[in-house]
Parts: sequence; structure tokens; C-alpha cells
Amino acid sequence: MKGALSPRRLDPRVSLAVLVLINATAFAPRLVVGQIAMVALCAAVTVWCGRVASAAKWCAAYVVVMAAGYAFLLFPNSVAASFATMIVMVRCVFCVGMFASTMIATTRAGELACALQRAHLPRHGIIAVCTALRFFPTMAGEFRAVAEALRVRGMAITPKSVVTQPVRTMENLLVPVMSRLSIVADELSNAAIVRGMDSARPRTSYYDLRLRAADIVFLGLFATAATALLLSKLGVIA
Amino acid sequence: MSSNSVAIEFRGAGFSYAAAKGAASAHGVSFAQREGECVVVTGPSGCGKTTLARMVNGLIPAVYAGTTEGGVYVFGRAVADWEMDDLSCAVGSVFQNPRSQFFNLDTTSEIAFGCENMGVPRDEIARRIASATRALGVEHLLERDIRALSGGEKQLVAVASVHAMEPSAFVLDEPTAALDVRAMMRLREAVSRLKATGKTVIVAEHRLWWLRGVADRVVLMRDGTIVEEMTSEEFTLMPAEERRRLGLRAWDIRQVEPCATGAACEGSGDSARRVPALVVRGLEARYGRRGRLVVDGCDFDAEAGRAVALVGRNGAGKTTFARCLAGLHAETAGEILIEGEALDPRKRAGRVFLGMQESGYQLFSDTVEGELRLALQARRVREAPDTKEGAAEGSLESESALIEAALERFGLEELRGRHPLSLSGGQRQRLAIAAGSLQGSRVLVLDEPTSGLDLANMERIAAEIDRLKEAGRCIVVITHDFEFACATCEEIAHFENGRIAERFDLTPSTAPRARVLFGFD
Repeated sequence: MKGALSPRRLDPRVSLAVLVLINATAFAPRLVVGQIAMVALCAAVTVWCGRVASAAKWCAAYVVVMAAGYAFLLFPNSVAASFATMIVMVRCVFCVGMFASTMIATTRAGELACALQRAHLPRHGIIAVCTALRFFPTMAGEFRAVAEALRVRGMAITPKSVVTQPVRTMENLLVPVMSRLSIVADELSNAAIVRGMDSARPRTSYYDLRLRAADIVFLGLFATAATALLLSKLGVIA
Repeated sequence: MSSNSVAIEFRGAGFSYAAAKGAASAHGVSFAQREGECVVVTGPSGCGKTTLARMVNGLIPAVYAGTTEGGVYVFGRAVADWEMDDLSCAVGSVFQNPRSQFFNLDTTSEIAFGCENMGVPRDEIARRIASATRALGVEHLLERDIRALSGGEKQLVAVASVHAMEPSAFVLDEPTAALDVRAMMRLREAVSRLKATGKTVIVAEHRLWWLRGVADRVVLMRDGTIVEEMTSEEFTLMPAEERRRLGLRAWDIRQVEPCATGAACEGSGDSARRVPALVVRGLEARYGRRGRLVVDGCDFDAEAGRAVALVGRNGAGKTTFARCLAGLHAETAGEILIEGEALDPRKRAGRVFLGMQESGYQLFSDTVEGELRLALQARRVREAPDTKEGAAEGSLESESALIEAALERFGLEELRGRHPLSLSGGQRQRLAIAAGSLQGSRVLVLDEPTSGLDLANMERIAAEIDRLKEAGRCIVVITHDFEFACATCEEIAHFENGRIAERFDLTPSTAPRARVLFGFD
């Protein structure tokens, strides 16, 4: 069915914990095997959530990044070195992007709110985090719409226009997006008020979170990989 | 509560906004709505009906600063005396834009959201989600990704999520602006279900036909005040000319008749048919690289000087087809010829203008005049890509003349210095179409140009399209607005299963068939 939700998803608390683990170990790339293990684990989660196509795309992208990294090593000059450094940076944050995209696509805002409520976060903080989940897809949609409108008006953004008229290009893109977002923000805030967002009553949740076996297994695997990476960074294991 | 007690009452109520920008003010409004009654508040753009809606749901004075007069009473208590929480639980609100009233990405979380904020216990939320979706007949929309729903489905989820808060009254502010006929029918069904369970419903609305048979009373507003109040039976008896004089849209869609027959005959009367401005042969397009075929072997042609209304169900592929025409979506097979010349998608962009539903996206300058100048520049770059900007000094004078002529032709003279984004929806739409015309597009594809517009603005857009036809442009309009199609389109093309399934001239004798294709009955 069109618009069906992911059949399975991680507990939002586990997702947040995994995200912290990945971030903590992002710049411990000495152990390439460890990093590959992280990517493999992220892919496993993505597949388990029923997003096979997305997992395949991310894995393919990782292979490209790895290959590019080794390719630059074949040319030992300063230009290649700066590119190689950039590739290393991309490899370091790769898992963060990969896991976050799965998390954003599968986590229910209601469940996340429930998790944050249990952690006793203030009400406004919770709603800000949940609305942010919705914000990124909306923002991407707005940019796409404006880029298309420019093509329709015969003012398409091309590599040439970016180089020759960078300011004009940015202005054409940003002004309509910003004005749209400000309208959307006004309308959303009206909708928020009549839906009790500012209510003084204690918030409840429709969802009841319970850790399941899969949550514990994935958390354990990520924790193991993260520990191995950290130990290698500290020089305990080579 | 007896069914005759008053639910909502205005006593000499009024409001003027502190900020100059914003909705129109209202003054001296007095009327009472009984419990269980459905009332439509209508009138031309800027008549103050949105302000009236905000006075009932408490957004005035909670969000909007300004001066109030008189009083508004909801279930016997002045709005000013209600706690916002309690008022929100007593009066549910549904807004115009289905995209900007969601806080979650899945429907179930969204329906639960208001209850969670109000501290309703978990078991009770589950019960309410079940009862709200059952009452509205939308159980199939649970557990879905909101972004994948159609506008109509989104609006039904919005009604369900408000319903779950169990209010006794509903305020709907232009709920159909983004909906097609079939979705409006479903919303009508939802509103009559609300009425059947004793809910009070107040609808601020331009498009009226869908409320016929559901609304008990019609309240007409003009310049911020109520000019007439009548039962729906009385409104039904109002002559069409009188209704139009008041600036109101049709109440009975069966009375709407095509009026473009004359123009159509003039154009093609000499029977020496010209080369079609737009020819589509065997077009195929799909979603994604291996997605399903949305446009499947489509053949289509359109003549200069005529307007074709492209109609069909949501998801039939009309929008993808339009995006293909405008070069925004690459076809996988087939070809598209503009004035006899086959063009690939990249070349079509700019040659075929696509008027978007949200015209605010399409305007990039800081004045109306500047917007038209941009359009001329785009045309010059396309027609002579090698000449440097400014090289065409000699043409600057004629450029100004062209802009002047366009401002006059499209009635935009008084707006020339305004910022495009400060214009009203109808004015923005007209400016976008004028820019499309000035950038030299021979084919203009317009996607729902009249959504959310009142009668006067709809007629202005129709007049603008008539002028484009006179100038020899070829117009394709995707629309679910039957009144608009009757005002300006000569032909109906029914898009179904990825191709044109049926096509005919729109005349009084074919109007019944056209109504069916639009989704009526």
C-alpha cells in the first residue's frame, strides 16, 4: 500500500543510544574493519526495518567512498592528498548519516515524544525535537519545488549560473523558500495552539514503549563495535 | 443539553488587527448558531470570514493582537473567559492548508497528538482514535505515512485528529481550498456524520456547492460585516444573477453551464486547422527508474488559441504528465513537439510554462514590474544564448514597452511596485501567468490556478486566459473547478490510466458528461 509505514522499527531510546555511540566513535577510524562493521550493522538495521533499497544505496555509496579513498592514495601529490583527507572525513561521518536517515524515516514522532517524556525532558523541548523530525523532509520538499520553479521560469540553476552569478542564484533559491517557510510556520503555530501544544496539563502518550529482543541485540552489537573502535583508538588493540 | 440551546453567539462582535498585514477586520457582527446546526459563512475574499472563525476558536485574541468590540460566546461563556485548553477541547479547528497542520509523519501519532497534549490517559486515547476514525469512516487511513496521502485524505486526517479531542463544535476555515471534487464529497460525508452526532459545525468557505444539503443556514459577509442571513432553502431560491452580484460561487453545480462556445467557434471557424502548438506522441513516464508507468502511451495535441481542461482522478498521472510537458520530469519513451519541433526535456523547460498551484514559489523579483523584466531576460537568454546581457541595448526601450503592455493587459498596473509575495493569492497567480506569457512560452500548462479563489478572482484568471488565447497561446489547465472550466475552457480531456481516455468540446450538451468526469454524482 502506498504510504505504508515501516513494518519494524527500533525503540527510539535505542536509536538515540546508538546514534550517541556512532558519534562517539566517528573519529576513531584506525580500525577499518571496525568502521566496516559499523556500516554493516547500520545496513542490517535498515534492512530489518524493511528498507532494503535504502540499505543498498547507502552500501553502494560507502563502496564508492572507500574506492575513491584508495584511488587517491595511488597519486602521492598535494592535490590528491587534500582530496584524500576530505574522503577520510566523509568516511568518518558516513555512519552518522546512514543511521540518522533510517532513524528519521522509521521513528514515530509519538514514540520519540514518549521516550523523551520518560526521560523527564521539558514539554517544549520534546515538541521541538518531534517537530524537527518533520522539518527536514518539509524543507527538502520546499527547496525542490523552488528549484523546479526556476527551471519553469527559464532560470534553471546550472553549474554555470552558480559560478557566474552565485549571489543571484542563492537569492532566487532562498527568498521563496524562506517566505514559504515563514507562512508554514505561522500556519503551524496556529494549528499547534488549538491542538493544545501550550497546555498546562501534564502530557500523556498513546504509545507504550517496551524494549524487545531485537532492540537489545542491535544495541549490544553496536556497543561491541563501538568498544572495539574506542579500544583501537586508545591503542589497547591494534 | 437541549438541541435548541445556542452553541455560538456573536453580539455586536468585531476585531481589527494591530498589524496592517493579515486578514480583514470584522465589525458589528451579530448572529447565533444553535447546537447541532451547520452554518456556512461566505463572501468575497477579504470579507472577514476567516476573522470570524478565529474569533470562535480563540486564536483571536490568543495569537492575533488588535482591538475587539462586542463579545463572542461559546456555549454560553464569553471566549475571553475560557481557558485556551478548555476552549480547544470544546471547539475543534480545521484549517485551509492540509500540509501545514501536521506535527507528525504518521497518521496514528497525528490523531493521538491533541489528546496527548491535553493529558488524556492512554487507554482513553486508544478508544478515541478508534471512535473518531469510525465516526468519519477513515479507519483505512490509520498507520500511514502522512506525506503519501492525497490532499483530501490529509484533510480527513485533520478532521479525525480534531474529532479525537471530542469537541462539541467544529470550525472549518476554507477546508476545501486544496481538494478535488471527490475529496470534497468525502468531506461533505464527514460533515454530515458530525451533524448526525449532534456536533455544531461552522464553515468559512468560498466554494459552496459541496455544502448544499448539509448546511442549515448561509451567512453572507461583505466588508467585515454580515449583510444577509438566510436558511439554505432561501439561499437555494436566490437567482443566479443575484448570487453572482454578491460575488458568490455556485450553490447548485447543475446550474453551471459552459459559456466559452462562442470563442471556440471563432478560433476554428475557418476550418483550416493550423498546426497544433503542442503534440505529444506515445509518451511514457514512470516514477523513479523502475517505478510503475504513470504516463503510458499517451497521445495528445492542443491548438493555439484554445484552452483544454485536463481532468481525472487523483493519482491518474495528470500532474506527472504536466511535469513532462514542462520538462521537469523526463519521459522514458515518446516525444513532445512544440510548434512542430521535437524538444528534449531540458529544452522544454522555459518553453512550456507550468503554472504551479503554489504560485509563491515561482516569483523571484522584489517588484511586480521586476518579475516581468526577469521573464523578458529569460526569454532573451533562451533565444540568443551567446549574446551578453546588456548587449541588446537597443531593445531596452522595446522591453519597457512590452512590460507596460503586459501590466496593462493583465490589470497589474496598480500593483507594479508591490513585492510579489505581498500580493493576494489571486494576484500572485495572475502575475505568474503574465510572467509565463512574457517569457515567450507558447504553451502554458496551469495546475489548479483557481484553488482557494473567490468568484471575482476566478473570473479575473479566466479573463487573463482568454487574453492569452487571443494572443495565440495554447493553454492546458489541470482543474477540479467546474465553474472555472466552464468559464474559460473549450475542451475537456479526460486523463485516465496514463493516457487521454476521452476528449470532447465543452458545450451545454456535453456539460452533463463533463460533470461526471469532474467527479460529481
